[in-house]
Amino acid sequence: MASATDDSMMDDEILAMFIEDTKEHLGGIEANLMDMERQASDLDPELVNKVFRAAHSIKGGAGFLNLNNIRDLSHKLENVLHMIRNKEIVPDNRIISKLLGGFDKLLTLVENALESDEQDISEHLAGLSGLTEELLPDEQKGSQHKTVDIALPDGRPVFAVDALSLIQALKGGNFLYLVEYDLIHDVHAQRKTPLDVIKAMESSGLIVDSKVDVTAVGDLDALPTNKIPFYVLYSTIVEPDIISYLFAISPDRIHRLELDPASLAADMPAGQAPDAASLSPGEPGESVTPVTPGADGPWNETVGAVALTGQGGLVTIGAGASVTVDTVLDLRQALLLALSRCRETVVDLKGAVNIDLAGMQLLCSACKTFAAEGKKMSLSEAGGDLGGQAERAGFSRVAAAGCDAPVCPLHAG
Amino acid sequence: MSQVDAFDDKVVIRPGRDIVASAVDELRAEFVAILDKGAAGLVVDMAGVAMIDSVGIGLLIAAHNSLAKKNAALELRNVSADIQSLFRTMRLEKHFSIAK
Repeated sequence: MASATDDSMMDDEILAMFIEDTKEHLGGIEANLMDMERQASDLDPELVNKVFRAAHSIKGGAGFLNLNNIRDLSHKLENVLHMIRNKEIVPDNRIISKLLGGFDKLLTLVENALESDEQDISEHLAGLSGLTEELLPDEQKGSQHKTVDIALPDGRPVFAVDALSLIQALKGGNFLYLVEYDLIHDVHAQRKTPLDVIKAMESSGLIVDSKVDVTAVGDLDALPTNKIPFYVLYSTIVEPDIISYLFAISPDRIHRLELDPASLAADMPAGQAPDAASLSPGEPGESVTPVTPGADGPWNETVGAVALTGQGGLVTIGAGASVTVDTVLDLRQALLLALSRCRETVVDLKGAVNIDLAGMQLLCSACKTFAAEGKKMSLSEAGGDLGGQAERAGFSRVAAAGCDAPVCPLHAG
Repeated sequence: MSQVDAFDDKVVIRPGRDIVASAVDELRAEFVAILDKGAAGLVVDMAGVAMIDSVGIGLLIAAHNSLAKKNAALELRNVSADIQSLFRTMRLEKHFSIAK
């Protein structure tokens, strides 16, 4: 145990913990990478995830200790592993060799952590950057060297992140959120510790970046702090309509970042380069959400048996004859498509003669999802007793209030 | 009551217990008293601190902000692995000096 007044001993202790953890992470890495090469396209997701998390975790620890070489090298390794984890590339001998070389160098750096920043690792960094660049699809080339500002709805920038990490965070159908926690109300008042919150988030997604707004806290002379803003840039498969329930935080402080991976990449025509303002999440109710190109003209699309017709900001979904457990998956896809393209959606139930609980639940949850994103959704022409059924199921109340309904997420259909 | 030792230009305070809501009022008063005496730097020895909650983090940040106004720095020592990982995720290491 270090003495309380001995600075150098203190250094050693924190560093020793980091080195011990890192060695543990790196312990089986060589064998894991060899297994990955053997498995090639038939990868064990847990194995890849383990190696990926090792790089992610070492990056975080090194950043904490200002070990820049270790941080940069593990970040590059993480970028490549992300592509493997996401099945964008198959780990062949050449890729695995590069990774092995990188991890090997990482271990050397960690073993001499105090001198690690004096070592020249430019060759390793360039090798991994070059590999990443080569393996990236054309439209994403250059993104690893580009920085994107992530701002709050009021325009205040919170994070500066490299575009590739953002593109990767959005992969695989993941959502990217800028979450505004208040440590006092959202964490302390919920009888949780900040560590609980972070662990819960890391278990169902990836924290891309995070930080506390230190200046908002005040000093010792101020009244005891009643607000500690903690911003988290978070990538997860958890859908917008349930994330606020999952993390017990008000929906207006969770901003979904609808970034377009194509416009995040580097080679943008002049005038289209994304700026901080256009990447700010929109306030609910504002129509600032970037609209997919072509959404303004009339368009038609079908998802299974469900037909969509779009014009301007409005899309009409023809639900077909039955809205039941057998058809809700198509309808859900159609609703998600409409949500991403337009401000207002009408679900046309004219021809619908059959609607069951699953269908009703999907419509309820869709309505909540639309409301949470500041968009409108309504039903039209419900024939027969469907209108009455919908009302009894609480649909009109949900539609009016936007939210006062039991949790029935869009994905539950 | 925390153990407090003064060195040349720094004061080392050792709370020796968790920095949580129930302890924060008393700690705040101790911090204020130390700063009022004109200490140029404050070291919080975290030995014996197994847990810190949101209110405790607020206290440390407030101490940092008070010290920063006087061009002084807050330093933390003997931080447990869990608390380190917490500070790391919150990027607080850019504000507090944790390793020397």
